[in-house]
Amino acid sequence: MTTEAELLVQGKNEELWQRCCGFIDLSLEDCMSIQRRLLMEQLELLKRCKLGKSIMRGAEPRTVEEFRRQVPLTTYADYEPFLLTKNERALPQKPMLWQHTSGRSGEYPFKWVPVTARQFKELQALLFACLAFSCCQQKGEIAYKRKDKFLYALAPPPYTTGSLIHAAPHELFDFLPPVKAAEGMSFEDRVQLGFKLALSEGLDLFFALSSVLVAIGERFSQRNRRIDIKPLLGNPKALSRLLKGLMKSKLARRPILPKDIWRLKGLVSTGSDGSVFREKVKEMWGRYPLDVYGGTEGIIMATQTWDYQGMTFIPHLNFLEFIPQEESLKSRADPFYQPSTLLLDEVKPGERYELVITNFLGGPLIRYKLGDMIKITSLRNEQLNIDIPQMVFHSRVDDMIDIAGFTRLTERVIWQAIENSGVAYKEWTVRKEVREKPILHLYLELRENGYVTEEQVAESVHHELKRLDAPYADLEVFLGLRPLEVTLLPENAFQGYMSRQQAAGADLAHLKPPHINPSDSIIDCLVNGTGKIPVTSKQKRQPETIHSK
Amino acid sequence: MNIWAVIPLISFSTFAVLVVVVLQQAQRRANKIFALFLLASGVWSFTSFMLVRDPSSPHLIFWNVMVIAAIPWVAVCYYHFVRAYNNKPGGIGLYIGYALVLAVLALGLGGYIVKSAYFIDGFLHHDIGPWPYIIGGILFPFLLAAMLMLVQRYRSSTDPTDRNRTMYLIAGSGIAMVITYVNPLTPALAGLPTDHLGNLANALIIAYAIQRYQLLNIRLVARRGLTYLIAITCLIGIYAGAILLGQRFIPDQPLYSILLLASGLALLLALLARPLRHSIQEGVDRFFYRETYEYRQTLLSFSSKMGNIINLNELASEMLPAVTKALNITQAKLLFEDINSGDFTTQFAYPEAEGESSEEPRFNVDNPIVVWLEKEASPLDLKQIDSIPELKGLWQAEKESLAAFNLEILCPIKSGGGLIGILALGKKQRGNIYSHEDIELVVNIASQASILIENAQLYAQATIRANTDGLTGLYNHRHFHERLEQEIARGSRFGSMFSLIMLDIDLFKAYNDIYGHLAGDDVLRRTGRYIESSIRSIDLAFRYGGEEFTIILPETRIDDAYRVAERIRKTIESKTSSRAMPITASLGIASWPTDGVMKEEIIARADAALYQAKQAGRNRTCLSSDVVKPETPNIGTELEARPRALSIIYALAATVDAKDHYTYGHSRKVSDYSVAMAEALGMPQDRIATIRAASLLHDIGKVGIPDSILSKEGPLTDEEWEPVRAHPKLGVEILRHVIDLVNCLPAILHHHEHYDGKGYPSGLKGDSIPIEGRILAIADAYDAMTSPRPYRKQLSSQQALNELKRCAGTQFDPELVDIFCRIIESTPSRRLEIK
Repeated sequence: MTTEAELLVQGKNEELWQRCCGFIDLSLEDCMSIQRRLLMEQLELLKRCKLGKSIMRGAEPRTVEEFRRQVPLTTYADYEPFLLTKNERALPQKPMLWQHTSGRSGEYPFKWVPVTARQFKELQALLFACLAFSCCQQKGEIAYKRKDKFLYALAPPPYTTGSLIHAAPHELFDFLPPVKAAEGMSFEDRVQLGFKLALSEGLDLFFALSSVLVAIGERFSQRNRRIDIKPLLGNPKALSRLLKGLMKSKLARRPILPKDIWRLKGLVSTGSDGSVFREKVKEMWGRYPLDVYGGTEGIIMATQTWDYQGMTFIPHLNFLEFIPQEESLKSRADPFYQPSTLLLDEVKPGERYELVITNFLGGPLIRYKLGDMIKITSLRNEQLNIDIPQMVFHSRVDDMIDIAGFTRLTERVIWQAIENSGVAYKEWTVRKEVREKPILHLYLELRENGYVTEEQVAESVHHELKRLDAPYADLEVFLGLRPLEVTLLPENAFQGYMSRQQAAGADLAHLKPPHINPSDSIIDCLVNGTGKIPVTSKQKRQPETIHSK
Repeated sequence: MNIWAVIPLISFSTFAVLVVVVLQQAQRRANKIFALFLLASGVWSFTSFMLVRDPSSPHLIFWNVMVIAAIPWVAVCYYHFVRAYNNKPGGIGLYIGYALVLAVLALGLGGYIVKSAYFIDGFLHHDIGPWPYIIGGILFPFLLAAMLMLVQRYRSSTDPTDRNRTMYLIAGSGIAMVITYVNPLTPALAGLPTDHLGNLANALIIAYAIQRYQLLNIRLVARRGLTYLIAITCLIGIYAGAILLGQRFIPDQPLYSILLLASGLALLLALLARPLRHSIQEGVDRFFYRETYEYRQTLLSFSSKMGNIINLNELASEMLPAVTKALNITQAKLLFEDINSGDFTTQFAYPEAEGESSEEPRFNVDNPIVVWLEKEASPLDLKQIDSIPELKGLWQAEKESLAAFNLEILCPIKSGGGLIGILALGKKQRGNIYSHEDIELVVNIASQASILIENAQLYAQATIRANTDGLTGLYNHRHFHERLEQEIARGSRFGSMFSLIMLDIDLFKAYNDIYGHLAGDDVLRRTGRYIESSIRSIDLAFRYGGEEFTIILPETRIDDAYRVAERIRKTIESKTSSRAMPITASLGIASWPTDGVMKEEIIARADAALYQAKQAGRNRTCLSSDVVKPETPNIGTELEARPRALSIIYALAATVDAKDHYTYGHSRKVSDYSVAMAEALGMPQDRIATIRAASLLHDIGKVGIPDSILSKEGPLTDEEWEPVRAHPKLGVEILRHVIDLVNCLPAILHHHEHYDGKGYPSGLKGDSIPIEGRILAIADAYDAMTSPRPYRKQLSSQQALNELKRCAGTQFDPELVDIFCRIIESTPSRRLEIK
């Protein structure tokens, strides 16, 4: 079979689009047919392996309905005996590689999940699709070319985003820096070297966490006044690119931004904050980031298309089930409750669901609760005529803060409120504290130039929260409750925390404190610079490196 | 005119035609640049023609400069084309290349390159100093880079089609380079325009690759273009020849009159050639299609030639070889929907698969490929299955199995919008690929064949329906006789032999009585399937009637037939559910012509063998040679003929009687009454024996009733009635594994049914209650009434008879009650003897 890279080289763009992006043209009926068929294939594989027999408790479902009736919903704990020990003989198919994400509080540092060769092949095609969507203006347009300069600011393997870069065609694009050369480099060094190369070689495609995109953009604008061009005198290409950027910024009478230096063809982002930073990224980089929803367990589950609105589900990597929010809450309250699920053709627009996946193509996970709450925005994309339901990431199931039963605030909403408030912050974390009344306690570290009081921050963020979340506004109206309280953290509180974690040998995923519901010891460390923090414990699950949450 | 001018003239004409056809589809970048390369080549040929045409021309230096400038232009354009073919942008090299071309042109026109130019004996002599080496040296990197790019692409590509195309480009550019560089360095050729031959060869190779391998995705370019090219080249050749001949033979004539004469001749020939256009086209087609030409013609007029075919066999035997040869492919298959499963299965193949077990392509009804073919009108290229989103649902195993069949194209055959068949085509011979024309031909065939296939399918379906047994799906009794006659005729003609198996399901009537006719039908269906799965594709299975089946085994000796029969028998036996009565079959085998030459003889011999198998205890296979004549005309009843069976019955009856001392002797008395009734009804001996055994054992199920209930004096509660009502079923459960007693089971199961349907366990009514059960019910009731019981007093014989009469029509069969009363009343003074 001709590979995607070969199709691009041969100029067979039509076939390349059809192979990689063609799933967006499927009817919902076709999607369901693919879902059912691939599930049946997966069940055949599961019936024959130890893991399948164990998880399905001996059931041998022959239809989708039997599968949903007979097989229980699962969490990672069900797979620990097989996956933590990397017991490949127990799996439905021999894996090609193993990838991991952060593990569970103090019990194990990583959740290891295998990837089969077939999954990897589909991942490669989907990577082409995401790049195509991020570069194109219309259906069928493949705007990237061979030897395009590709910068990536993602975690290294065996994190999932590392697998993504491994799946990318190395011979096709000029990776900045080359993937092999980057092995062993720290994240910071790799990104710095990448930008150095991009300055002289140019930059066409950028794949990064959305928070990294913003951080880099901000670093540019902060350096505006102290740009030293002397080191670039020996590099005319880099110098001309920088001078061109400076001129553009001067003409626009604002600090220099990445978009002044590079005109990106495509920008793909992952991470939970994609929608929060959407406008900021566009302002800095000149285009919206294409948001991709994926994770270690499900690889890629949905992606935005070139209208940068809702994300389209990918029907051929996982069997998708949806637990309605109410059912999900019930099951959280009663661990023995088996909530009912809906299929992709049964979801309703505007509703929130907890996502449940069963890997196709020999993957190990069966009716696996990802712990993600997603929202169905519409049943189809009218603008682009896509017949598959559209979604956005809503929250982690366990990352919501309930205030007085009136509202359930998610990380995304709080983040958006902080962003909109205009407070110049470095980092934040928030948790519910119950004293006489429930308190939404926000711990915020300001930038160096941020001179505001805690009251001022609380006022602005409270105002934005009311604007973004109507039930939150009702708290004040009906209960006279104003739950937000702000504590400004000392300078470098987060950096200090991270340094301590790093020194203690914590993994990349555990370096930063969580945004939602940090433990007492984390708060103690942030506020007082003290407190003993277990290397991987006392943290709720971190946003996964690829998850768009 | 210089005769050597013909070479660049022909070359120029060729390039001119190619430029026109390529420009017609120049949307793609590579096509445009290919057209530019052809244009540059055409200019090179034209300037060369102008240079060589007239040795005395005063413009020799000018044309020589143009030729020298055109050569680097061609080389740079070729480099440009190879970059575009590899989807690479122009790059700095191209700017340098085109700048070089302009520089050469400017220097040339400025008089710095060609100092002088003249012809001696048709050979060009010119003073151009070191320029050939300078230009050649500068151009070499371009040609080398183009060649390296092609070699690199060839090595890195995993697509065989792409490798094929690239190989043609490598060959073409190699020839062009060698000839272009060798020509000026060869003294015999230096000064002659033979270097054009290399470039012409390159262009023609590319044109061929376009036609054969869709190099540039230009439809029909080369073939159609070549037709015109040949026509124009011929005309120019004739024109030039006429001028040369005119100059030689009529040298005194002025040039204009010779030109006029030549033009007139060329025009005349052109007009005459018009009717020959068809022949030229045919010649070109034959050149391209070679041995496949005739088959293509056959297929193009497919429907008119095969309009009368209404038989799928005949259609396939005409169509598949023609398709295979016309397209020069490895195989062709026709798949049609299987009536029973709905799957598309291979029903015809060319060449036919070797061996019995060769697997053929088959698509389940829900296979995404079938769904796709139903929706689409165009053929499916199997190389593309990974690129079609609707086919994402294909299983890995399905893809692997498909790949193993070495198919390349699946063309839907549709009628009325529905998929009625699939034409599956193998790979092209020698690694070639399907051209657009091939695909058009395939679509054309599929379209024409659809009507014929639909008619043939309807005819076939009607024939199948007429010859098929609706229940089992096997052939029916009528068709059995037809095929047997055909087989005998074939055997007589070719001296071959065959065997006939007759199969009868053992104790099928009992099964029907116990489990009902629906369950019985299911047994027949399953038996049909087991037979089909146990025989070869050339063997024929029939439902002969009732529970009897026959199998004709062509070219099979009786001992081989025995092995087949045993396989069938064991399959049937092994598939019996452990929860139901065992299903077994007896089989008899006869062989033609050993056991008789007439149809009736062979059937009778197989039937006799089957009877022998039954007599020998069922569930076995007997050959016609096993049949022995019975020593006595009537061997009596089966059960009684076997002491083992009788001993079982008496032992079991004793068990029942021992259970309840009140019922002591009850079984034996009921047996006597029942036998008396059966005899009065004139029933055959074997059925009387069955009734006797059933009567003795009718209460065997009471072993499951607690003694407390059996001996209870008062009326029974609902809960206590439960085990009592269950005893007939329990009796059947106990006895169903004793094959000798299976015939007794209906009577035992139904001896508590009421004539009005209110009895138990099945609530059967009237004549649907087996007669053995109805007899047993009366005998049982009479003996119960006339015997003492803990819960009531013993009735007199007359009282009991009166009670029977009162319940006739509701509980008991009224006719049988009459008979029973007559029997008892006719023997008032003596008790029926207990035998």
